[in-house]
Amino acid sequence: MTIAPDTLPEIPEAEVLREDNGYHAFCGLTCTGWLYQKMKDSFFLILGTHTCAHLMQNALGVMIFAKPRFGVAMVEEGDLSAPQIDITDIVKNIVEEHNPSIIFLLNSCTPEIMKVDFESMARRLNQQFNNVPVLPVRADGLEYTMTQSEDCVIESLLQFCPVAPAGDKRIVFMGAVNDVNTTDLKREAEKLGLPVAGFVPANTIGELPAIGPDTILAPLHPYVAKSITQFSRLRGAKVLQSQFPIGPDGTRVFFEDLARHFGKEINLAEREAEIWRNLESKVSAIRGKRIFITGDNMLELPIARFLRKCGAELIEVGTPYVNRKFHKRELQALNGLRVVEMPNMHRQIRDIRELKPDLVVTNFWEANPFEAEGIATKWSTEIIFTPIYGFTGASDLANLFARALNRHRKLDVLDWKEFLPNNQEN
Amino acid sequence: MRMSFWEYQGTAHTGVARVASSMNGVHAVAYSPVGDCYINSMFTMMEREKRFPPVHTSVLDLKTMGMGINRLPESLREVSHDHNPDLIVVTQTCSSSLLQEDYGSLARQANIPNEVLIYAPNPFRVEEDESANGLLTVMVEQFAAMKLPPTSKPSVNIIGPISLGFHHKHDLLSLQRMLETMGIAVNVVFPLGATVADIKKLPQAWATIAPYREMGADAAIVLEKMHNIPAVTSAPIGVVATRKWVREVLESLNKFASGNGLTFDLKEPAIAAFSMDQKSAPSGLPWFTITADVQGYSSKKAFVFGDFTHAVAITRMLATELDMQIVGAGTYNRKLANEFRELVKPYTDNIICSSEFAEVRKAIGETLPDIVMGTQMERHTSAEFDIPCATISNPTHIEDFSLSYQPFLGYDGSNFITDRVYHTCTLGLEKHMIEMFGDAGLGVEEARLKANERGKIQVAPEPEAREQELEAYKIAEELRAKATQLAVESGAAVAVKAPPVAAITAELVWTDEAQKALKQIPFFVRPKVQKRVEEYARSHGYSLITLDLVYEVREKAQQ
Ligand code: SF4
Repeated sequence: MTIAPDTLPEIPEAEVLREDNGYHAFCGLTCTGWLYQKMKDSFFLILGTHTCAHLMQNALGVMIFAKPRFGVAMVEEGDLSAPQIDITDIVKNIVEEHNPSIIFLLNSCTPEIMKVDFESMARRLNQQFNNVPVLPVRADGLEYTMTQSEDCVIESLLQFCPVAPAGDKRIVFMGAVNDVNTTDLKREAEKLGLPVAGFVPANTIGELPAIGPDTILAPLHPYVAKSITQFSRLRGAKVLQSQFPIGPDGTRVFFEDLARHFGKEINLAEREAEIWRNLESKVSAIRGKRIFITGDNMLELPIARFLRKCGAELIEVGTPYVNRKFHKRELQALNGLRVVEMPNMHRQIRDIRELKPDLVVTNFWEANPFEAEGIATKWSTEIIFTPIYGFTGASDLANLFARALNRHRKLDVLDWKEFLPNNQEN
Repeated sequence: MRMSFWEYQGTAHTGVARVASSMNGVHAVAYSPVGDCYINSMFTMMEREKRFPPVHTSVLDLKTMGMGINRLPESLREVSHDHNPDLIVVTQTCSSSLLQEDYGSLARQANIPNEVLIYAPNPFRVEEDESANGLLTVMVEQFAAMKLPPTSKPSVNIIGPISLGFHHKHDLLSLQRMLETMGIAVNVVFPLGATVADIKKLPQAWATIAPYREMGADAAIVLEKMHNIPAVTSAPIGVVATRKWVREVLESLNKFASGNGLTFDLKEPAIAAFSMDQKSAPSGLPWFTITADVQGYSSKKAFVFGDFTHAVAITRMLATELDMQIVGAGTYNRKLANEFRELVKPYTDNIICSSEFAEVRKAIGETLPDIVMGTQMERHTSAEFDIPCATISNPTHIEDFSLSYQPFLGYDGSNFITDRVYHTCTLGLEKHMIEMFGDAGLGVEEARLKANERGKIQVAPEPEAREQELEAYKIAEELRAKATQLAVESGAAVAVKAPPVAAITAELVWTDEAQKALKQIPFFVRPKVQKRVEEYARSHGYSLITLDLVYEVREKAQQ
């Protein structure tokens, strides 16, 4: 990774504690739910079991209509003892029926334990279907969580990015964000006179930008560490080391650092201040509140940094995984806070009950039980699906938390607590 | 190896989790990769369960696997420490089952005071319902072995109602209401709300009620074998079945009483005793069917699909009590296929036992019924074909966990099911009226439906409220746009748009007159009629569709 030395100020970072039993999160397969929508000419084929199929239809609440662009090639009992797993016919059907430009082949736990040689399986399929690339992606729950597998998917796209010639100095934004955000980030950069080559991933394979030795790779969120390292290693591209463009504070730092790669010193202080002024009604709901982030998707570090800037007190920031180098600037901004990697969920429940935070940012299944105990919550997964990036995304971001906090204040004035039965936890 | 886009059932460990989540003082520990903890969200989100689900994931990952470490003992100790349950059920999932761990010895290593039950059926063979049902049986064998003296007054066990069961909580209430009317006490409900101590009390009842064939009936039969407690395993769905069930329950109690030298003098209460006001009929179903405006039901075609219990009972109810034609009936429970065929054979020749939704979709497409009674999946299929559909079975959706009382069992259940059929069919009935009285006002209806697709703000709200309204409106608009985009993308567009006028196919030519006739048909049945006419034309070798031909098909259809 090539990093301009002046972008690495030596300031203290938050200490990271690591727990690793009792950590709960979605497995890598779930990245499909969002990426298949983002990449409109793709098909996500999961080599999995009934469990994986059930996860996909339940956890994501994804309903299958006439032509889904993902499915599970299901390993059944008979396949366990078969000499080889053959999915040629399945892939053939997908190609005929869906005509995708690209097929992502996701592994899962069972083939991983069976030691299926996944890479060569994909290679074989690639030879058989030479006009539709089949890309192997690591997504098993033995090692990968939702956002880590998103990184694996993005990593596999490099081969479709044309090579940019030396001297083509433009920005490639890295990370799957929705179109509202891409349009805005591009506009913002161009307003500052910073040339943009494109985004990885793009909506279709054909739209992927060229990447070369003078490309500046700008990560949009904390879960593209693997792909960005690869892209920079294989194409010699430069990597922006900054905060992520989440919240007015992060966005300002992000663009100022980006400009520096083009030899420009810009000051976005006024722009940032203006955004904060616009957000005041929402920020005032967050200010002074005690917030606990249980942690399951890796967006936690920049989210915590934003909430801290809003004046919230962060009791704990849990997160699945910290890459000390890639997340350095965010860790610096969190100095003094308790950051826990792969937190133990059971310990967190005990702590939350004792500390009674004003808001717990947590996964789908813990939210309602916390609410039942009178603790306000915000779904962490919702943050992933909300267009929170850049200056204009800040309002949606602040709103997520403000709404959760305000709602409780409003509900509190109604005298209906008697309708809620006592906590039933035994 | 097969391609799966959607499954009717979850896996074995989902079944175990449902049993644990139903009970008090019982914890499940699944040895599995971290991602398999996803099932917990089904309890707290679909069913809005308030507790943290008592289902613990003992994490299997590559690192510990490589080091030869199994975290199960540590997890058991954590559960014991945090919750101190009466019973811990240890189970596995697809991937962890391949490792063939010795759970018994791992559990012993944990060295905890709590009772541990190893229940790890082969996840590649056993699905959700079978797994839960099997666990109920094992628990009865294990904890209800000790004989107890019968209760002094007649009492029954209810085995079956379970967490995430289809309308089970409402069913339970309906059963309890009826039993109270009959003067019968409920000894134990299992598994919903039960503890291990409750299971031990099962042997003191006079009879066991187990209304769901795939959930709890086996446990009831085991209890019968162990202690001579009669099992009533029929499902009181529909008025006829409910009345029979009432008599069956009384007979069983009588049988138990005479076998045990107890006195028993309960009689079947007067029918009105079961109603809310103790005066009227407990179910309006018989009169509903007799009323003149429901005569049209005799010509209505229904397609039924679901789990075993609901599919069998609803088929019978629609055929015998609502006088409908059954054009197809099926279940995804393939293991009970033979029994299913036997039971629905009197009502239809078209029987589908399959867990592939595409096969069910094909059958619906071929029979084009007037109403589908199915699962969440059939709702989507029916939307594609523009056929009204009501859900009668799992798998379902959050909307079936209703706040109001919506039972399927008993007299109350008969009312609810009939209402559901009626509301679902209403569009069809309107069609019937239109056929009789002409299509006046239809254009207006079509326009109204279109107008409804736009936002909903009609009244000017208060100034402060207005800002919130607008905000809500904005969000709704965004969501709508997203949903439309998704629908278009996934090819569901046909389901959200009013069907276009005659997308005339290439090889068939419609004359102007025939097209005009087609346009006169209400838009909501138009595609069906078009399809029928075109199929008829093709099968009879016509390439020109004339007005006469349209009428010819109409005549044929009425025969
Ligand atoms: S954790 Fe593994 S077995 Fe479970 S759904 Fe994810 S990939 Fe499939």
